[in-house]
Amino acid sequence: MQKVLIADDQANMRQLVRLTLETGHFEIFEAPDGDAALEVARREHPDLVFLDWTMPGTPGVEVCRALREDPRFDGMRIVMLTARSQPDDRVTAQKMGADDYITKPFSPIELLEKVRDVLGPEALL
Amino acid sequence: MNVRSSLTTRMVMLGAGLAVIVGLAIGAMLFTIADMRHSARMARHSAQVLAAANLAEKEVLDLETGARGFALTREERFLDPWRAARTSLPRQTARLSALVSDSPAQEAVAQQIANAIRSYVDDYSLPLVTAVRRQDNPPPAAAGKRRIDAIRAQFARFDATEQRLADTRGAASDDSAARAMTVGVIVLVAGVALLLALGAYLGRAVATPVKRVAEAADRLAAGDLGARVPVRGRDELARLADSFNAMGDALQEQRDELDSQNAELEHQTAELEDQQQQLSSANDELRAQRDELEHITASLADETERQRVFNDFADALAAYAALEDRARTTLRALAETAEAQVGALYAAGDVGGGFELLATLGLERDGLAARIGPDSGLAGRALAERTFVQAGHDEATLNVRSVGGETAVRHEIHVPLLYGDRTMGVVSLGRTTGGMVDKRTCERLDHLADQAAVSLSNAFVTKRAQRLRDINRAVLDTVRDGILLTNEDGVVLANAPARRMVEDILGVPFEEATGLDPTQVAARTTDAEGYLKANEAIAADPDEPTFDEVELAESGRVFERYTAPVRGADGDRIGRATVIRDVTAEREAERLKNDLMATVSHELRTPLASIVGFTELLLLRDPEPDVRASHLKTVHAEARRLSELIDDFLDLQRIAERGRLPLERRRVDLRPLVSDQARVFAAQSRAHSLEVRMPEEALVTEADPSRLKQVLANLLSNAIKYSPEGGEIAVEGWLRDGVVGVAVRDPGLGIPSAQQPRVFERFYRTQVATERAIGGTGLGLALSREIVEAHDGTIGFESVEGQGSRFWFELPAVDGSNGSNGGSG
Repeated sequence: MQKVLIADDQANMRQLVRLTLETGHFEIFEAPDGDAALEVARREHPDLVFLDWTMPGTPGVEVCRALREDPRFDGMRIVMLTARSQPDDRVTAQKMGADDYITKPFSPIELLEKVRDVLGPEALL
Repeated sequence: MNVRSSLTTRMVMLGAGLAVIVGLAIGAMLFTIADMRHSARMARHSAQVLAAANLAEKEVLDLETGARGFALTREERFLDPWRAARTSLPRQTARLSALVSDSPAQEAVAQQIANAIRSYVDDYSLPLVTAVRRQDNPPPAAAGKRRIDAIRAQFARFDATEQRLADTRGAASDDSAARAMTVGVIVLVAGVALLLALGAYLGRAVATPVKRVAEAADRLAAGDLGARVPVRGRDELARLADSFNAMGDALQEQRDELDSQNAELEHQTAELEDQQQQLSSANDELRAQRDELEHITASLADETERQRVFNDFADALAAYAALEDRARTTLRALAETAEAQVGALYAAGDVGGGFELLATLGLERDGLAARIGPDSGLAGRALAERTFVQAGHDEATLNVRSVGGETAVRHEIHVPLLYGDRTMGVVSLGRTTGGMVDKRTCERLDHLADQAAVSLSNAFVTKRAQRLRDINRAVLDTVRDGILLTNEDGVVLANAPARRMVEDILGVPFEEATGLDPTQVAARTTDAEGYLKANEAIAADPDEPTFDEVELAESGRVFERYTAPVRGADGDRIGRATVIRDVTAEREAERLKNDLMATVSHELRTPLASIVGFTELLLLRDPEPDVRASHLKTVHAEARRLSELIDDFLDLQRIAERGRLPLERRRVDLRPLVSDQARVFAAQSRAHSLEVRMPEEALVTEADPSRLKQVLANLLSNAIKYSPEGGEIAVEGWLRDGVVGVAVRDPGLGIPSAQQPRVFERFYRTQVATERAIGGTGLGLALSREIVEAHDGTIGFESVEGQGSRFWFELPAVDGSNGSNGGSG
């Protein structure tokens, strides 16, 4: 079973992503801020991490950079899930090592498709 | 034919022999290569079989993942690959069987695979899809996986056998290649040996005779015309030697002829020297004639003396550039010539009509008309008729008032100043002695007047040009952009803003701008490389305009620089115009606007994400009633939040556009308004307790209750948001000194004193708000201040970092006795 970490300061958002992934077989973890996200990621080694950008404490992109600098997380896939929609933001996220970028608002179907793209089709079986 | 055949025949025979040997060798090579190509074709066939098998196997996987994806999501989209695989699989398996038809064992395995796939589709995959559509119980996933694994095992066996076949065919192909290589090497060695033999023969038969002819030619070139070559045999080389010898003979003859022509030339040179001597004596005669001419010129000196007077006058005029100086000089010269004691000069003014008084002699200016026309007495007549006018004292009655001093004027002369067909002015002269001036004096006056007219006309033009320059300068200085005109000599023109901006950019006084090291200036900008590049482009003086932007690192000021070549009326390049504009304020406004757009977009997207996500889940999944209710509640709350955000934003926009908020004011008691809002917010957080303390008397003011509710809601929501640990929020009201007031105190984070002055700015978020990601747009307090000030009230706060804040507002109180009214909901 693949592990997914959802980091977002809004409980609504965490719930929405969790509900969306319910149909697949995932073990899901949540973190309400950047520092908690780093802590859970280091403990659980998730296969996929969804990161909000604007969070209390360490912002999402900084969490992304910290995870990418750690060779233990080489296979981890990181997707930014944020309301920041400026073209520069995407470039920054890419530079920090994010695998993909989803702008809020998003469609749950689209989210599932991204999961299939980054984890492979068998992830949803 | 001689014993030895010709050189050409021998070459042809040798070439033919070589071609036969090379042809034989290439034939042998082609035969081996054909053998090798057959082996390679067989190896490629195996690769095709393996590729076809892989393709079929991938399609089988698509069948499985497609059906499974559909079973999970019930999304028809996931069935697209499943359908494609179902259509193409029979074709793939048939092609596989056809490809291995040369090997009966492989053909049998391919047939088994086809059967297994057909059975998987019919017995498992199709029923699964049908069951999912009908919402029945689908067949277990494990059964499908078992079947797929079995099919994949068959594929693996098939691939292994084909790989073995491919290896055998590959080895045969390698053997053929080695054989081809051996034949190739033999052909190469034989060819090289033959070429070497041919080279040795050519050296002996051709090179040696040719070298002998070349040596003879060198001697000929060095001047030895007797050089000859021995002739041997009868081939082409022998003919070359014959021709060379004939050429030597011809050259000998030509040299003899040249010697005789030389002698003739020497004779002609001697004759030329004789003729030169004759020319020199003619020159002496000419010199004598010139001396005579000089003598005649000297006799004209008297006439020159008369000219000198005129020249002196011209020089005197030229010495002064200013119009008034030239007028004074003219008047003095004419008075001297006419032996007049008093006089005045009028000239065509450049402003208004008529002729303006420019100079006087022996007269008070005040006693004279400042301006005259063609109808002004005798002077006017001289102007109108363009002729001399002379008058004795009796006739000159019109001029009496213009005469000063004790002595009466006995005679007046009015000389018009004419320039072509233009009348430039008139000189009026008065004599206290004597009568009419004689003819010779008249001629002189006439001549001087002509000179004066030209000079005054020039002075007028200069004065007009000067005034135009002054106007241009004044206009240029009122423009806010800096305007510069430069050419290779430096700055031709610069208005005041240009001087200021150039000094700002370069950091030195304007006069020191030329010759400044550009790299030193570039270091002051944020983009040194760009600045230097733009400067190079401008220095190259291209025909196209250039445009660049300079941002100063220290002050942050931004200047736009536009340059373009300037051409005169004749199309020649005059120089380059540069327009500099300080765009610091525009750039700052642009940056603020972009920041604002990013902030607004982010704030609007956050609630939208919940609305879009949860509604889509509701549409897709059709959940249980209680889950559905919870989702709808979330959607509703977020939609409310979005709507409030938009209202705040639009309110502020409206204020920005109209200056003030439209208010519906009426008498309101603040107490019920405050308790209503407190109740709403108390329900929103369990961690906070709201303590409301209101006085006994009514807090009546004249206000728009819905707007006051906005202010209260904002202060209460901030108090909750900025005290994340929870605690008591205290709300109190008061009436004193003619004002009513409300304060909201929280025990929260507080605002650092450095950030306090900016709290009411639009879109300003405190550092702690962004760090802790406390939601908000930075609009609430800005809007609250607008509302309170629109009611002629004041809003303020006290805050200590780490200890919380107290926000309050006060409004003018009104007498509540005559029918006060509570806030409505």
